Amino acid sequence: MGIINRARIYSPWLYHMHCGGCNGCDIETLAALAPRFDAERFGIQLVASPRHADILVTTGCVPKQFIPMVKRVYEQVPDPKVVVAVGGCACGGSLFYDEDPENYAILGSADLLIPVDVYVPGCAPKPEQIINGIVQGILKLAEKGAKKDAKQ
Amino acid sequence: MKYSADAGLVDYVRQELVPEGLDFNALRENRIAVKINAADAVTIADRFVNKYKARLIHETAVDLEGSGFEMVYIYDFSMLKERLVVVLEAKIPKENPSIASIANITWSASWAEREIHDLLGINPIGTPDPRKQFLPYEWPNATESGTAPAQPEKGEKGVKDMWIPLGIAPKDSYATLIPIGPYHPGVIEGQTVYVKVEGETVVSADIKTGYHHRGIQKLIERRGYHKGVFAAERVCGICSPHHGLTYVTACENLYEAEIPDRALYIRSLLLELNRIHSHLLWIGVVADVIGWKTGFHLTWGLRERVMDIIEAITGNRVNYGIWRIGGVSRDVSQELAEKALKTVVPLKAEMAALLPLVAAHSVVQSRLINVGPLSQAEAFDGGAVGPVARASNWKIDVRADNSPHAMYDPKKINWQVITDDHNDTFGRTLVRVKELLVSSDIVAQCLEYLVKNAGEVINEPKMIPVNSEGIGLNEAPRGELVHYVRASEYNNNLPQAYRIRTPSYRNNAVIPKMLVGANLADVPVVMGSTDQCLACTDRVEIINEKDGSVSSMTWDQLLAMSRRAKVIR
Repeated sequence: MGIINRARIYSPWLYHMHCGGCNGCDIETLAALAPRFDAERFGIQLVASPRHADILVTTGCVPKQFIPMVKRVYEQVPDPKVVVAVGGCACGGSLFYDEDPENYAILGSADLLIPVDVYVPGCAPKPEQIINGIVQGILKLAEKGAKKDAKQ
Repeated sequence: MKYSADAGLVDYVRQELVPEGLDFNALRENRIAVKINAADAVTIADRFVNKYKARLIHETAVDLEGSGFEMVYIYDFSMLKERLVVVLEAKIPKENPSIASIANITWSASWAEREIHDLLGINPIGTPDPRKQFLPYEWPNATESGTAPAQPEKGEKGVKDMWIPLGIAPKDSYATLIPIGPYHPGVIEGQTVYVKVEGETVVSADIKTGYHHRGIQKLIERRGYHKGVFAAERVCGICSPHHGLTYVTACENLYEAEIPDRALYIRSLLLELNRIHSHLLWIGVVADVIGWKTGFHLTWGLRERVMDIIEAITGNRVNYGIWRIGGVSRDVSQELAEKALKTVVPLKAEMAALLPLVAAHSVVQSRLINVGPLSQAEAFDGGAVGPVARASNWKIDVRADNSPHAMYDPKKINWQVITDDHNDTFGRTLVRVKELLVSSDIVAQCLEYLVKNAGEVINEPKMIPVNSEGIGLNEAPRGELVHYVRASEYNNNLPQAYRIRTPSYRNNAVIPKMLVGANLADVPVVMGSTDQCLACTDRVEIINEKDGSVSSMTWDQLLAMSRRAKVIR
């Protein structure tokens, strides 16, 4: 394992992308980083720019007005990257998604736009669940990093 | 508890308030619906606002399918008569619908008229701000049936120069336009705030929301009353019980509701626990923005203990799923109430210690005093609600004036409305910290009742009648929240129309006013001071204006700048 890859999985940085949910999963994601659950002790840190991130955490069903922005934020995250979809909306659209008649404002889950690696269902998932999801994401990140190393 | 109505009010409204009314209909609980001619709406609004000092709660419209639209104006008269709400209804035709604007009389109507134009295609004639609210600005036409408002011609002052909320004209010279957003990590949700600066001082500001429009109103209109409870809760994850309760209150307003006392106490208990967690969250966020990290960790640590109580009572941390039309779905056992009471008492002591810490902290004082000023008159004109209005020394609290279907009876529960005369961000902080203590008092009293008494928590549901109207009012952590339900004319299970007006919707409209004159470094604090919740506001861009003078700045840079700002002024 190369040194960069090793550093990456010991301190993965998150970018939290809110694409149009109800805020419930967002406060739970923040609570996971706040004193009680304190994900920062594992080296998991929230960063303010997608360009610094290793893991993209998406919450919320994607309203149609957000489509171009979600794509752009995903493209800005450098490879190797992992997407963790937190909450029922990000996993499947939840109650906002409607097929017939279609909900005019909502596209649906985030995986219609970007490839999602880990799903954390729940409305809203508890901080423990979110941390577990991110740990699963780290395992995938290690895999992807190893593949990238092998290519080089 | 059964909610009664005052029978004499219809005569009072007919003779005193609206002599030109065509038809008077007493709804339940002192809400009077008055049919008027669409042409009279402006004169009546003028009389209500200027003579009686009534407050426009919301302006909206209902699609009556074949027979046209109906404009609905909801006015609050609770300072004249107890719990009196007057609903004016004016019919307008389906073809080329338009209505005279009342936004020149009360600024509160401005955003509502933009919303009506976006969602229903009704053209508000003469509205001062005809831009899109939920749709992108450059969207060609409002809706299929609507007509686009007149676009300014070339050479005329364009949309960019029209950011004159409450009549403040921008100085054009030497100004730089800085768009903040739409996607930035600080305020998690998407919005664009444009600030025009001269040097470091903001001379004009504007806010564009609408990215979060999720069509919840339409979802509830086709899913029915009982499923609507869950959709209403998910309007906003931070104040979800408030949305749930307001929806339930509006539905209980449709029929002769009788709610068991124990259910009322459980409702109050959960609402106040939620208020505590929401205010703690807000104090933490503002502490983070001004660079006081200790405050952030203190309040978020306290918040987790509130969440523990909520989780023990409802089983959930965010969306409680406990609200039902006619009561609540889960009882709180006496052992649990006793246990919770033991946790609340030390929690209150710790929150009381927070007050001197916040009020006397030199960083907090130097960063918040005289930042984002809003006088009482401006708060009334702009239509501010909640802690923002109360910090401008305006005693407005729905729990006291027009309480929802929960226990806020001053005879049974001892509590008071908090106001503050600082008129700035510091005042807003003090109001919220003091409200923590009031809320924990209410929580303790509710728990004491639940320990001592027993009883039912839900009544048998009744048939919801057709042709009925209900208004749910509630004081959410951010301010007055309104849900309006109109029952269908033929279907017992579906509402004809359902409308939400959230507190952030009003407070966001005042933000540009508060930003003018502020230092650029204070912009995040001022925006944060209203406790914006855009999931609420939009329920429901990418405009990157690029001309010579536009430069963009990320939230990080702004935050870094904010933290670098001098601590002592």
